[in-house]
Amino acid sequence: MLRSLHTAATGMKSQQLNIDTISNNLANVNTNGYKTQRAEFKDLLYVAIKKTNLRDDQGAPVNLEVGHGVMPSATTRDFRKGSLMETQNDLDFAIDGEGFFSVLLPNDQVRYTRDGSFKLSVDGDEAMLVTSDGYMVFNEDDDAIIIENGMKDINVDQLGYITAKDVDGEIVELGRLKLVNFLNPAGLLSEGQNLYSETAASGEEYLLEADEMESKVIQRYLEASNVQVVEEMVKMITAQRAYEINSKAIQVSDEMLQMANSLKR
Amino acid sequence: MNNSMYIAASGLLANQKNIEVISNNLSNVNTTGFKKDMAILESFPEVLLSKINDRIDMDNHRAFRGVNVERDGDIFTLTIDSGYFKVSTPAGVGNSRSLRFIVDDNGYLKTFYKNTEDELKADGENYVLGKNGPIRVEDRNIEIDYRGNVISGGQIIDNLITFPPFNVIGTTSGGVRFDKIATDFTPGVITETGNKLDFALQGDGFFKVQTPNGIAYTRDGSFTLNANRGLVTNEGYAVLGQNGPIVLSSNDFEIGENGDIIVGGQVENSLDIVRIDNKEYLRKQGNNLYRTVDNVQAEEAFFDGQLLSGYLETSNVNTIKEMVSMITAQRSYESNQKVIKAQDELLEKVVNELGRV
Repeated sequence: MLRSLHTAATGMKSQQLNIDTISNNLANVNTNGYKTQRAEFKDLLYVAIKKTNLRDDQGAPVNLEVGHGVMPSATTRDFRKGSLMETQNDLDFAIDGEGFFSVLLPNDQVRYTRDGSFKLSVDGDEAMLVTSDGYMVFNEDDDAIIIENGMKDINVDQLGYITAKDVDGEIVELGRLKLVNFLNPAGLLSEGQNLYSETAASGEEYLLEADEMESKVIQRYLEASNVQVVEEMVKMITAQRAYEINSKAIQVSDEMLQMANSLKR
Repeated sequence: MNNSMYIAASGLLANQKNIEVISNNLSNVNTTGFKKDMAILESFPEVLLSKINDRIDMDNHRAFRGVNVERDGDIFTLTIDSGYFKVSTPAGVGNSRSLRFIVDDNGYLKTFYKNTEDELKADGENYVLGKNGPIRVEDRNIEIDYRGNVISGGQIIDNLITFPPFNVIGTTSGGVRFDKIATDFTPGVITETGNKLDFALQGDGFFKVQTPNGIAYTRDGSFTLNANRGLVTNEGYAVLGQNGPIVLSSNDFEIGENGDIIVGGQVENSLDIVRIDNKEYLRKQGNNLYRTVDNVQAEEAFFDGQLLSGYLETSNVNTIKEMVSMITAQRSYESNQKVIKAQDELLEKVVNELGRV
């Protein structure tokens, strides 16, 4: 049978995944701290139809090899900065530069996020800094950030130190937000809900120390998604055309098979 | 039974393979660093066609008017009116009325091809035959006279022309076959990705990758890190540096345009990027990797291009061109099919109508 039928089918399948990725990016164009994903492809095995034959210095020097199409190899994230937007909310934080906030899930697993739209979760006399989903935000000592009743004017400086005024108007230090980074952020696993988890490919988390930190924490700002709508639209068009052209290749192969069939009426 | 049927069938088969190559190019239109393939078709050797059991027609033999010799640098182009030149091909001896050859490094007269650098190559090509087999000369500076004599160092070494018997009326070929696939190494477009561990090569070069089956080459620089902080491809194969596989010991590293990996102001390792001078021996392995054919060593040379971090090279497939080749291949398939059908109809007439009693 014609190999090209299957080859072109792999092309269509890959472009389908490409479109899936692109449409997920477009759907998240307004998600805080969302990072664009990109599908990458690799070519499939090549089969030698005719082997190189250089015996007696005769014969073709080049193998006759036909490829079998394409397959997706990876989806990588683009960790370029999204734009910062002002929110006027004391508990909104953006990281200007590299890094992640560290949060704790109810099942004691650690996750990372760049979405700094935090809230307060009240428990009796005190409140804890949590994400929108209610997950605890870590401080530098891997503990919760506690804000006691009556405290106001919560302030976070660029290095992540949190201060607030207590009932007497005294400024109290509440610890420092835990900011971590990875050697290869592209290797992080996306968990949904703006959360990432560590993998072998990302490397282990390392703390961004206050005295040598290049990134800045910016209060009352949020990081928008870094999806470039124009870029995604262009990618979508190319993917659609690539899908189309592969379907044409299937059509052509089919027509050729039809011709071969009609040799014998 | 009937020559034209088999010739057209060889055309069908060749076009089928051509479509397979084209559709592989099309499916890889979005593959990082992909280089497109081109199918090269080759005619079967021209064999002499002779009459049997017929009156010998002397008129068929044109008078010998000599050989027309043109020389362009190392390339000789000969044409002749009567008689034939012979070349030895893997599929048998071929006869033709024109001949293009060069003298190869061993002194043999051979047909040739041009590699991607426009150099003349004769490896694996056909030998030009003289009266006593392949012609070999000591001195590359040869002359061909109008009688087809090969003159080297003032002496006639051999003669290129073969006069066929009188019953020969011409040549015929067995059709066409798929000869080889050449890879077009022109660069693709470079696009920004923003990922520090994505690399694109500007210029003629390859990254070296350690695979379980030995060293492979790639232009796909979408690298990542493994658990030991080693730089690896998406398949997990180690990317080689000049001092062994690359390990990023610190989080704070910089990558220079020449591939140097700088940690704390010190060059720790350098990406091993090479130019390959005998690219015609590179074979695709899948997974965006290339390897040289067995028994051939890659001729590695200094890479004088630029390494771009945060960029990737796209595939160099031009969809318009591929589309056109696809249409051409399909139409050519169609016409070959028509030839077979026409031949079949003729046969039908012969068998069913002529034979009616």
